[in-house]
Amino acid sequence: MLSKFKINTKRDLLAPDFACYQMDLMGPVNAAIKAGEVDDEFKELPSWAKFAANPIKAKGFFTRTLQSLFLGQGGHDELNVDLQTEDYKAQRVSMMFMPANTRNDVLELIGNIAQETLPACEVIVLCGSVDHRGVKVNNRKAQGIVEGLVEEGKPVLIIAAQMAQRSFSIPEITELYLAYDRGESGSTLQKMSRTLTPGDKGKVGRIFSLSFDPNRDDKFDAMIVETAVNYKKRNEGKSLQEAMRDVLRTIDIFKCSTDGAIKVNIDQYLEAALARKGISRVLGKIVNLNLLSAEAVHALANGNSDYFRGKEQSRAESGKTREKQQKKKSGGEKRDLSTQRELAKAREVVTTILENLDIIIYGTDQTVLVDAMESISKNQEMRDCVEEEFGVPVETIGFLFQQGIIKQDWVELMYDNA
Amino acid sequence: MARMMVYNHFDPLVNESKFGDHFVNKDCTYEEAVADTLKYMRTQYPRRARYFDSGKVLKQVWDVSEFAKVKDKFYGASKIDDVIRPAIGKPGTQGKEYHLLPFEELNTRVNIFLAKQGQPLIEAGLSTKQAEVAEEVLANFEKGNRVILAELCARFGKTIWSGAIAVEQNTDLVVVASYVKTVFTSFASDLVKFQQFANHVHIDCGDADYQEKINRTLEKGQKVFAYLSLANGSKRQERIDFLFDNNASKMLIVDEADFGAHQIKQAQPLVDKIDENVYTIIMTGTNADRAATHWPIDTIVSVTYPELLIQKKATQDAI
Repeated sequence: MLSKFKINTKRDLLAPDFACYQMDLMGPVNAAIKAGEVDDEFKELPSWAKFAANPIKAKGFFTRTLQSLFLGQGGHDELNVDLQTEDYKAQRVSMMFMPANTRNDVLELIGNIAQETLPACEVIVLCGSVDHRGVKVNNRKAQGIVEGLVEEGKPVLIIAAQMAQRSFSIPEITELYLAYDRGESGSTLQKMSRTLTPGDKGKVGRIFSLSFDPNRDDKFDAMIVETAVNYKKRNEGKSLQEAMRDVLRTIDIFKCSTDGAIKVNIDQYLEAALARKGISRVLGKIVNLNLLSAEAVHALANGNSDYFRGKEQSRAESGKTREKQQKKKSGGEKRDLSTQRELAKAREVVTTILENLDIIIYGTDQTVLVDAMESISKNQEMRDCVEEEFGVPVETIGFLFQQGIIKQDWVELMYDNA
Repeated sequence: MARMMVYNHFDPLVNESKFGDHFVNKDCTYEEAVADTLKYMRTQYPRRARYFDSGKVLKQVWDVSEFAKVKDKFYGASKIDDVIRPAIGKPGTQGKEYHLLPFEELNTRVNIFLAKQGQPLIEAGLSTKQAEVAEEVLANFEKGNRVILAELCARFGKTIWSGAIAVEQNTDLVVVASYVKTVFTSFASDLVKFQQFANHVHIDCGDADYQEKINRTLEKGQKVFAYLSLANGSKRQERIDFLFDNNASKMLIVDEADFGAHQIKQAQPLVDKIDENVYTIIMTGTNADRAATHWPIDTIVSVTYPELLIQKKATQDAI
């Protein structure tokens, strides 16, 4: 119990609500293809990365998209934001994040296209190469510059890639567009937060994921799964699946259609997230690699299977608990070897394992991972199959499970729904 | 009970802060007195009341009744504001009540002055989520964990939350380290508003006499928030040695830990100072993995934005 601070529940009410919208860009893409406004490469498999590589070659697609989003033109009602949100504002303050690796000169070009397309709107590009009315844009000045523009009363569209992801608080931003494919989950959450600065009473931050393939779009999955994992931790009686359902009941996720936004049904969302392997990918992204020693991370990242074979054997012999091992590490052991690259590689390995767990679960017809692992370890043919499919020996998977990196809960979430 | 209030409002068009007083001569609660004062401030924007209400004008109100009584100024038009004014300084150009200071800076100066005079400041309250996670961290410290990674979403209120943990721990010396310098201003200006931090002095380790200031403060029995820049300057190691090689009870808060502070050159000098007596919180909004790269993390606490909304809904349902 806290002795010097009381709970003030009024503070609970300060967080603005938000709503997530999944938008399908294929309408303007097909229209641009039909009109011959995009090049063959973009036509074959459109993506934000291709657009950001050369916006001129896909200019038709982008102008059509902007016209649909902001002006309701072009007959693509599924992108008409006023229709989807049922909210019309004279001064819209919107922010659009392009792929993180978009070059500054390209971002400026995108800004110019946007300005041409939306002449009534003030378009500001936030990147290091831009001078805004004689002021060089940088992280420190970005907020002040945008505040000035908002003050002028015109609709504002902010275009950024890397800049203004943090410490950029404009209360008037109510629309946030994620114009990139996939993307790192932490950075996506950071970007989404730009529309969550408290503003007018009753503000709703609206986040639009602009996707060429909404069925594979997993931008909102990370937030939901992470929340469910935390929520479960603090509500012990609940399974992860129940936690996911509770979380989904609180967050409004809409699929945009020509008739307006349709709230996504919880079961449908879970099913789709599982089908696109969104959940396993997100679980892979959020696994707590800090539970591993530097040596284990190093071994995992570098495919040193002998390390895990040795570890599992010694564990079986000594019966050490994870907590004891963990205590030893926190005594001051430095994680010099755990460079960011190594951590990222180790995470990739764990993600691959999670994505392919169905081989273990269905191959053994077991839903309890510990039982499945036991069946596999007794069967050489299965062991070989797992090693071939996962790229790591059975012992590595067993080790990650014993260490609490892969959890039974997650298996239940992924396979009880299937 | 009547109340003596003082206020600050900052009009961006004027670019100066106005500091004045208002006596609420009726029996009222603190909240009612604040509302009455805001109404009074609004009258200073003739024909621009909507502008005043728009949120563009920044406003702050204090109850200084105790201080006014001590100074024998507890009555209407007593000019208690002029008693405080010298502590603010920087006279403005728009009249004697104006000051050439940014809004937050004026607030900080008034808060520090009032705390010194023994005028009770407002009590900081924590949101339900802040309190829950603070208890989680304190329980972890109690269990023997020393280095906690806190991945806390935007709008969680990291500053007041981490300050609250330091107060609950009764820590003498709180070292706030960051690569991002604006963090320090935000800590100081947020915390000085509240009574629970009235006995804390905020010292920037970039000041030439920071060592003297810290020693003097601790000798007086006050607590210290010491702000340490992790930018690798020539005096950084000397500062770290001074802050950690002493007998004061200590807490280390690394803010924006995934930004600059995650690099080995920034993290290692601090990691080297961590022992059983240093309670450490590594705070970040995102990229917890990156933030933790070089720290011997014992445990993680995490809050996502939808959790704040789940709590908001639960609170709304309970009202």
